[in-house]
Amino acid sequence: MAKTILVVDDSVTMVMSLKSSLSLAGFQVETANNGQQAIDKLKAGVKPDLILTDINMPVMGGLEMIGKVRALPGCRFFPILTLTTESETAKRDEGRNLGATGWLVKPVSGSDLLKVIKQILPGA
Amino acid sequence: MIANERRLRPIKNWLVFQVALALLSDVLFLAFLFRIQERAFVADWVRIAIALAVLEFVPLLIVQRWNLRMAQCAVSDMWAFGQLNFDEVSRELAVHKAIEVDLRDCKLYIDVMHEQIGGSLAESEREITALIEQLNQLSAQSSQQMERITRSVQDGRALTEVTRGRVERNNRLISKLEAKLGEQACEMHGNYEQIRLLADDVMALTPIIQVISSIAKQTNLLALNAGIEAARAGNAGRGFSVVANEVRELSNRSTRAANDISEKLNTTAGKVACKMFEAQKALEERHGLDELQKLVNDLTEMQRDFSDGSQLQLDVISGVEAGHQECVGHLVEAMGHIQFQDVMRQRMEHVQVALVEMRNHLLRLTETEDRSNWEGLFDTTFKTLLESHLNQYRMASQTVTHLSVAGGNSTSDNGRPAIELF
Repeated sequence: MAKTILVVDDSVTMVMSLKSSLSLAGFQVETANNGQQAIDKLKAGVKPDLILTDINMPVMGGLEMIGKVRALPGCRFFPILTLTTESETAKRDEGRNLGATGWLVKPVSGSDLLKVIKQILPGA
Repeated sequence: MIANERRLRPIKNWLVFQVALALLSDVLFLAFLFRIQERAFVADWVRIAIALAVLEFVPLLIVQRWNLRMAQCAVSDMWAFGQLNFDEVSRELAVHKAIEVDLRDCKLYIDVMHEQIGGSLAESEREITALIEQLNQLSAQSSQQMERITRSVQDGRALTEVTRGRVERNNRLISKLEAKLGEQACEMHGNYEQIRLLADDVMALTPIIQVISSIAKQTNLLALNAGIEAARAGNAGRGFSVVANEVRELSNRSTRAANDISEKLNTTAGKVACKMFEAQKALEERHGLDELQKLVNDLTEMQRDFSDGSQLQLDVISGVEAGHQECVGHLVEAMGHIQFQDVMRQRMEHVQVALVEMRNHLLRLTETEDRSNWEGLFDTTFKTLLESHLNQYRMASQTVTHLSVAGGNSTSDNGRPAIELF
């Protein structure tokens, strides 16, 4: 059964390109345009195997979302990767402290992204 | 500074003249008083002079010095206009006014540029979106093609298996047919050889018959001669005449037997010739069997070619499948490269923010000109604005660009990798 990845990004092009490339690689893809939408989807019953999120987004940013997701029941341990232009060390450390699994700075090549995801999701 | 001193000199002279005039007026006033009273002494003059110095001259000097300093400031500030005549000052004021108006118009200019960037970003987003949709369609078509190819692979494999089974069955049949044909050919060849030997034996009897016939003829001739001699001998040869007759009769019978044997041999030779003809015909039909064998061989070759073609088809399909996978890999890479649009968007949005800052700052500069109590220092300058951006950048590339132009050292990224797993 295909693994499910929740893509969270406010950029239309990012959401579309990530959805396409991950679908081509055999993943089931769910999307959200900000952290609040992602939280709503999780509360609605979406059970992703991994969340791939931007950091700087309107309504609710990625860091705040990570903290809230980790507080949700059953969401404490599944991996959350950030895919962002943010390269500030302090932000990275904050993300790690909040529970992010990894930090990817845009742009990341498609093959590198898939390699990281398959490393985190063995058997995917 | 020298020019300032030169320009201050008339002011200084005027101030000194004012002090001297004040002192002179004081002295004249005192003289007038003493002339009225006529009781003044020298000591009184001295005391009065000291009193004037303390009470009027020193404060007056202090005031005039202060005036001089103010004048110095004024001259320093207006130094640029110091050498200008009225027309030039008017022109400078006009230029200043034009700059002020132009500064106010920068709002429209910067707003337009801001919107131009926004429009470009929106356009690039539309185009990238369309590009992604095109790539998705391409990917979908490729997937459909791949499904058709997969079905073809399965059909091709099934067809190859069926063909291989038929080829094996046909090969077994062909082997049996070949064996049967071989046996038949050997049998026919043996028959032909036997007939040919029989014919040779029959033909070998012909000279013997001729010898027998010739002996019979010679015996008949001898018997005839013996009969003639016996007749010539009279009664003495009567017995010999009987023997001669018997011998002649025997020779006649031998001749008849030889003729009969010869006739039968000819009949047998005719039959053997027929058999030989039939055997020859059978051997000629053997060539027809060779044609059949050739046909079977062609069929086998054709089946082998078909089997090889099926394998070739499978190889081609496998190659197409590998090409499809490679195409998928390229599509994934292309999708990754599309991230540049998001990176570019964020950088351009930052430039938009900077443009708004610049517009607001320029407008504040025009407002500053209206302040009567302005102290000559701006709360915000382009320098402070530029420095503030260093703390607002999200990307290391933004910081690098900034520092490459403005100078300084980066402290943001610390060389951490682009991909970091915690």
